[in-house]
Amino acid sequence: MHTLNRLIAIGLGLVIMVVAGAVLLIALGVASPEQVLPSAWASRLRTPTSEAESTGWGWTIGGALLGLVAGAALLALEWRSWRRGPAWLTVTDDGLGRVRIATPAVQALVRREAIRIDGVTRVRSWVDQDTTRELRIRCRVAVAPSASMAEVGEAVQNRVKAAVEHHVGRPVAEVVVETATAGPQAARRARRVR
Amino acid sequence: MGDDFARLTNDVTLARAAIAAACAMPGIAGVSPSHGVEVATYGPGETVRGVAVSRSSGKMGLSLHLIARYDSALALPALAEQVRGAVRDAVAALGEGPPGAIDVAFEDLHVEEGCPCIP
Repeated sequence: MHTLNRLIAIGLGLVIMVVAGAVLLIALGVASPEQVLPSAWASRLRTPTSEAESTGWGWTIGGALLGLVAGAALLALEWRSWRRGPAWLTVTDDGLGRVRIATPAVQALVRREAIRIDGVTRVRSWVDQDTTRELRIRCRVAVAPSASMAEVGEAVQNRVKAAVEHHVGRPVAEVVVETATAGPQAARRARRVR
Repeated sequence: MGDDFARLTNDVTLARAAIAAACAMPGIAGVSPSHGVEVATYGPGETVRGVAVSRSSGKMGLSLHLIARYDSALALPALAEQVRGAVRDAVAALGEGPPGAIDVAFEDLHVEEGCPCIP
């Protein structure tokens, strides 16, 4: 997604949340309309006085809550998309044209190389490219209980770095490997190799 | 109208030649279906997928979306150079002037059957 589209989506998410939050505060009586809205709008609002208006009040609360959830979901989606990194990595860019590779293809390459190492049972990977076009790779590796996490982590680092530099043709600035023992105890015995 | 029709027909011919030349390279497994926005050249009654022909200030440019064949010898910069060379030759064979920029996008890496699967 282009940066402008992303900024528009973030702005829209924030606006939806602020408006929904303001409406919720007014409807719940936590704040007065004059405190959170421009005076022109605030003069049109008042608290419910009849049963019919109370039904509308319920809809207002529901709509505001829905707005908050929608705004939060939009921001969460953008955050996820940002964390996933760029969709494309540039291999070369000169007068002859641009050579790119899709980020998921590099992630698959990283997983493929890492899984070939003895003791590795599962791999997840993330790839990013910095302004100098060096690649930064992060792997989360599940290691068999019989294998040494330190040795496996180092082997993954070396193999992934060599493979990506050879196949993609871009220098790899760092490979961060997070190892964990495969199985239910994985979360308790996590270790990070930089 | 007639000029537009001729240009579109010409673009389709170019796109077809370019993609055929690229796919003839041993390191290329095929044309990418393009995730998201489809990359294609549209002509009268025909669509050539995986390649887009652009013309800016009289200069023709090409953008190819391909799938590379993954093996131990794969090196994307070298493969892209081979693809560009083959495409340039194919375009020249049609009597077109030399193209400007040729963008190559590798959308995926194809693993041959028998190799360990990508998890």
